[in-house]
Amino acid sequence: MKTKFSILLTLLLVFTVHLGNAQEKSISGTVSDQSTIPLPGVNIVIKGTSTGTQTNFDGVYTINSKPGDILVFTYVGLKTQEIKVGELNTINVTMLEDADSLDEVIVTAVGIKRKPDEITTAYQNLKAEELTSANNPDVVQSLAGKVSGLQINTTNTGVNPSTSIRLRGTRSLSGSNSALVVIDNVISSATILSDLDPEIIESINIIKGPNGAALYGSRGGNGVIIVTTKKGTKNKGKLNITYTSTVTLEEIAFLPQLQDRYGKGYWGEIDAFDQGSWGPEYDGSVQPVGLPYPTVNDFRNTTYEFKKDNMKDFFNTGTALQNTITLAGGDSEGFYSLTANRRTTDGIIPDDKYKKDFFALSTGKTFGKFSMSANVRFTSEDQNVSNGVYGQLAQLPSDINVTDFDSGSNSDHWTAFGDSPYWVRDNQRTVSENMRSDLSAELSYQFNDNISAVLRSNVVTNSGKGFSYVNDYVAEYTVTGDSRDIQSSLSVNSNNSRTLYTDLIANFNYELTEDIGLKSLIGFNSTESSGFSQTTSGDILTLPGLYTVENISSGISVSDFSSKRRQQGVFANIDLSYKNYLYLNLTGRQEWDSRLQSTGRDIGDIGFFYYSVGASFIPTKAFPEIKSDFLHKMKVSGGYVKTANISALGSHDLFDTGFRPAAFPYSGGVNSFIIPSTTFDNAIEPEFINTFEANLNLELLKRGGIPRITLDGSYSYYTNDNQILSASVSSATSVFSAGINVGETQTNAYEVDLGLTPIKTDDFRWNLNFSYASQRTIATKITDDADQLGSGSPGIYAIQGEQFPLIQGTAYERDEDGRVVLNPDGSPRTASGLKVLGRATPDYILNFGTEFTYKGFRLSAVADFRTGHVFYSNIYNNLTGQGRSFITAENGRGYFIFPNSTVLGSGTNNTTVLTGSSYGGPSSYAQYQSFVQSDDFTGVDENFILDATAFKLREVALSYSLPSKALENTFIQGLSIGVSGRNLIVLLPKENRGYNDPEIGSGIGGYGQTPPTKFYSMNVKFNF
Amino acid sequence: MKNIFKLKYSISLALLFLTFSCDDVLVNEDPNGVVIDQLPPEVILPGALTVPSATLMSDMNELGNTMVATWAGNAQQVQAPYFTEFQYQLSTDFYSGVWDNLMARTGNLTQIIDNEYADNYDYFKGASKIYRAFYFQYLVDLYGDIPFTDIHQRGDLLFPEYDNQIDVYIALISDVNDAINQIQNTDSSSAITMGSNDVIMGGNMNMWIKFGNTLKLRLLLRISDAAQSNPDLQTILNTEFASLNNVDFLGSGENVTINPGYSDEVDRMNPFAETFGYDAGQFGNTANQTFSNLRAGPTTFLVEFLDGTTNSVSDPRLQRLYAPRSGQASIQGNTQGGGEQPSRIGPGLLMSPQQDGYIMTASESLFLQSEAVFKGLLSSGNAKGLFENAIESSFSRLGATIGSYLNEANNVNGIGWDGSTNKLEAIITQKWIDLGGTNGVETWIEYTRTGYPSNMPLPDITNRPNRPLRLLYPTSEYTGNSANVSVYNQTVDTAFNSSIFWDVN
Repeated sequence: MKTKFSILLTLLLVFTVHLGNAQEKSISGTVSDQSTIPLPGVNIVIKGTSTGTQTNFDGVYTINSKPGDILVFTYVGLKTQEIKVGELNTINVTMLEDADSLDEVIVTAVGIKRKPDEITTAYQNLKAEELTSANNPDVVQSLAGKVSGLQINTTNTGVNPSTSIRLRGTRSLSGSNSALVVIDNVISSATILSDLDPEIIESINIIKGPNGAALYGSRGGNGVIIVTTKKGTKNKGKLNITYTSTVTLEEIAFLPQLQDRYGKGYWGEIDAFDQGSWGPEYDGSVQPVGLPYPTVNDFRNTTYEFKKDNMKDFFNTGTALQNTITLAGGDSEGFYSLTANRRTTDGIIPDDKYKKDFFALSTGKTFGKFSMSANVRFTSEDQNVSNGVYGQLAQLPSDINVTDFDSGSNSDHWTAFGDSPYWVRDNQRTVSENMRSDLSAELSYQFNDNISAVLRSNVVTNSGKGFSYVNDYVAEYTVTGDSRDIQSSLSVNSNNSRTLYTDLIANFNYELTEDIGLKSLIGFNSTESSGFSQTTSGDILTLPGLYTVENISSGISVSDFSSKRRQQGVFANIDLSYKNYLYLNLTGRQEWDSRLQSTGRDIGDIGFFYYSVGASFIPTKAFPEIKSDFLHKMKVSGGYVKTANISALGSHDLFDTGFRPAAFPYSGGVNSFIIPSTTFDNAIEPEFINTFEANLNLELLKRGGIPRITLDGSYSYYTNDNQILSASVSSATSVFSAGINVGETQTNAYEVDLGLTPIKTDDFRWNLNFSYASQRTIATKITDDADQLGSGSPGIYAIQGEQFPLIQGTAYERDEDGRVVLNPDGSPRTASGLKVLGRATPDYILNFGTEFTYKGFRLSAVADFRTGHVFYSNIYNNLTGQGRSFITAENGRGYFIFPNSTVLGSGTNNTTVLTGSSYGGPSSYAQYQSFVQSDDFTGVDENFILDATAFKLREVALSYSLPSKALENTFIQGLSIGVSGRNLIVLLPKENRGYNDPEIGSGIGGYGQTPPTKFYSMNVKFNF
Repeated sequence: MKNIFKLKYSISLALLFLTFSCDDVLVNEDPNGVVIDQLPPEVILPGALTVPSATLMSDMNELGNTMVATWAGNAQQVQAPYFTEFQYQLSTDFYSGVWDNLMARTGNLTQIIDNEYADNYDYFKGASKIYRAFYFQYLVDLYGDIPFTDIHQRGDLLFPEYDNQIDVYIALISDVNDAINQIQNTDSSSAITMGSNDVIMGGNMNMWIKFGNTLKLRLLLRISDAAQSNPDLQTILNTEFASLNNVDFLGSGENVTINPGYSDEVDRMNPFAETFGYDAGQFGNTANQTFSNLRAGPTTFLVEFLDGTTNSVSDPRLQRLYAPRSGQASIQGNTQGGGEQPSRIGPGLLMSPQQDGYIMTASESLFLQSEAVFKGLLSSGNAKGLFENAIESSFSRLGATIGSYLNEANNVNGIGWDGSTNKLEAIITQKWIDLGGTNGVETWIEYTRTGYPSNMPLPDITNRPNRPLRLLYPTSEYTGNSANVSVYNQTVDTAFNSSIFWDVN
């Protein structure tokens, strides 16, 4: 509170500065554009003074000046004009299009608006249309495939999928690699961006490097996604209503391809109770399957034959409805926009539901030199999903009709092992609700032409609660002697968080000489985030179906966690321009972050400074003689940035505090707190990132008024030093892991974007985009004493001198020729320790985009291709253990010659020793099964590493806007309809027989909520 | 000029504001907890005592019971029970929790021992030293060389070096001596008593001294054979044994047990009962047995050893250690890796969810004293008497009626004193019967040291010619302390052919 009050006070003091001017005579006139439409909001300044005005809504202005003064007319996107005041008292002006900067003004860091020429870093600006064409309800997902160097991974499926955002790959070994999201100049989060109704977004500017981000503090080190929302319309007094409605259908895209030779059984015999497909070959006979139900005598029968994709019958077609209404209006002095959006999703798993309501009010008003605006956004989410259904469905032998077991009772199941997915669907669920509000206000004051100040404040609050439960199940009878009973349990959680954010920025804008311009700002930022969460859990619910803590009859365990952190920064930015072709940008920031505080570390220990320098040069403007229709424009830019990253630190990580061991307090009342099993180096510093970047932008072959070829290239080199690693350390330290400053990585990243416009006529236009992005990070140092970092088998590792990140896992022992070494009994030998199994992130990503417009029609497609990486498939492993993956049936089941093997000590290719006889079981079939299920096959991670290459047709969209003529006599101003599809084509390498979408999970492909899905949408949009 | 002045004015204001607000960025505390050096020993102690004991009662117990022929698996109801154990697939992940939990969690004891407090916490510090030495003996016995000098320094020393195993043993003996001194010689008027925070002895310092003496006896006996070929060690052994004459050891009925307040709830049961017994609220209900209860049962070797088949003496403890499963008329065994259904863990081991947890039994102390007297290392006492006291103590702890067992067994070679050609075999074999299921790892270590019980069969499904002699350093050392661990070049074979220093036979 104190902070905010101080800022207000400062601003008020600043406002008391007042300026006055002498008057000579009054000049007035009308400013219009080329088509004679009056232009409101044109700036008019008397050159060399700070006297100025703006045109009103009718394009009319009045200004006092003397003859001989020069009036400067400026308007964003139009050519600046200078007119000398003569004898006339009326000066009407027609503003011309600025052919060289037809392009937009880009919103960059801390709200600075820049023309493309002035930007010294690699960036890409996306317009609303590019985001919304395929009707993706999630803005974050809709970025996929559209920006080179930006990798959006949808990391889970289901009604509310999660995503990860990476710019130029993964560089930090343990800190966050996620790009910073900034919405309307306020630091925000990917969660809030996903909340936004895509319809309210005006543009998204992606700053790929950390350059512009130096102004955002340590959070901006991984690039920034700057989102600007629509700000109403400037149609005088007129209310504009937009209504958009979208229906989306979701269905399974692909399922694992399974072997079609052997059915349900064990050791080569048909087994009604087992879930494995280790039976004899299919013969079409009728066989009893599963547990008897509803009584112990009721065995069900099914035909013993392969039923392709039999799991599909479990699923529904998912539907999502999305309706948005926006009311917007405004005039030259103010705007308002009110949006309401509701999204309801019914997942492909019956009863999985998600609902989101979103309201946004955006409004602003200008009073002379003072203007204010505010955004109010509110989101409410309700979600109700099942837990673990897909995992149970993966236990489905291929000869079973899944719907034969759909009564919903857990006694009604095709196997005595595991649980019925129908029962799980109904009885193991998570129900949650969340509310978020995001309020921001901005005040700005234009002291004069040179100086302005802006104060922004933002409060985001989030509160959520939810519970996960498992209901009781008591088997009416047991068939195999195993208890299948399930004890009920409940976990209830609640959380809330709050972030206060304030920026105070003073802008200075001077023309130092005729040719040299100076724009600069100094600013102050303060952020405070606090949160609280609590989880209460226990077992055995007294009353079935009542999910309250009071209903728990076992002991209750409660854990709670509070956090608070503060960041403050003071920063400066200087932009110098020389004529219209040379630009220099300098930034600096001193930041203090409470996460660096601990016992004995004070204010002096928690601050750090970083800076950037960048320049851009436009040879085609500097040397107009080289400009031609072929070389329409050329821009080179580059820079150096030093920034920091402390995201590896939690709010209070540096305080080594005691924790209560799980079972305490015991019933005798004895409680205890013991030392924690993780710790940090008390002298820890931020990770520092040094980046060099060089960019080249070319516009070539100007025909029909536009360049037909654009080529943008960017090269960047990062060193991330001093990384804060949570290194797993010897247990003898009394901790299992410790955070230390050690790791170093070096990254080379390239992005090349090629844009083509092969055809452009008045009616028809065809654009094509190709981009190539490659990013290679080498871990140059891990710690002084360890050359690798990571955990798990398989797991993600950083290894000194190697690319990062890598997947390591268990592998076979191989001789120098790469042959698998067998024991004399034919069993393969496993190599000691873990082996590198491949890289977890792509070598390169190719994006493809194309767009055809013909009159009101628009057809667009977006695809991408990622390759050079691998992933571990849990599903493949599981299906192999159950005898259903392809590999378990390819060559029959029995003893076999292990491919590409050599018997220990023989030194020759093995052609005689059979594998299988050393494994347990009464037959060669059974021994083969034992082999597959042993640590010598399913336990060897390398067997389940798959090429993660994927081609995805992410979006195809067709839309049609009715010509305005057709709507002339209706109250409708605009009407467009569209159809689109997402993930329609996914091409995977042969070895990945549809086991996983490699994008799901992070290198270790698990089940996800559902199998991969694809989407079809229909959309209609009215304008009133 | 005017503008410039105003510019300066605003900048100064802004800077002034920043200067004054900087300290606001501090948060000064972690709202979730108390910094560890401020945690009073009273608060640390219950957790420090309880946490490592769960590993002793469950993981280490199971490890030992399967490494010697005490437990077999229930192959009728569990697929390939104890497959990894009985195949002797010792890897860096094999029971790695023993290292990780004992090493890390004893850090709480070091915190009490090393942190400086304003008040006199000598009782806490002494008890912590004894209890830490108890676990570190097992770490040496299972792994050989281990870090000890460098341990538990948290972020200050992240890559602890390994100490020679003999040096660690000597340091542990010295720690026990220090602890006993500290307890005996502190200013008892200012020393804060442990009271109910001592969930082992309830603050009884005489019992801690007895426990310390018994632990020292065990440390010394373990190295007594190795000392014969190591003069330095022999000197230490002589001095330390001399100091043990006329001290008090744990006697009959003086079991070292822990009970922080176990109750019949998930995670709060006695760890042995929780792992090898029944679900919370279902104690004794065989339909709600835990997976480990379903899986574990006696070996045929053990059943035949106790039911009279092997040596014609029927041992009533069998009915307390194990109990028939449904459909079994009598207690059945299975071979390790065999296909049968062995009986389940019995009422002498599984008494209740709240039962005390055994750290060191009175019987073990008596067996140790018997061995020391028999070997002439302790000058007073009667070896046979101590041996028979130990067996009586074992019967009593397991709730078995001893009847005429002592007489029947007395003349039988291998289990009775007078009939045994090698008294050590009788002592160790009786200790195996006594501690099997209670402290399995001790029986495995003693088997490795002495080779008793004799004729113990290897599992059916292993290709190894002998039992493992030790564990391999765990994966966590390879990922977290690789420079120090990798010099040992351990392979799977190491576990079978590289002895701990005291294993000289």
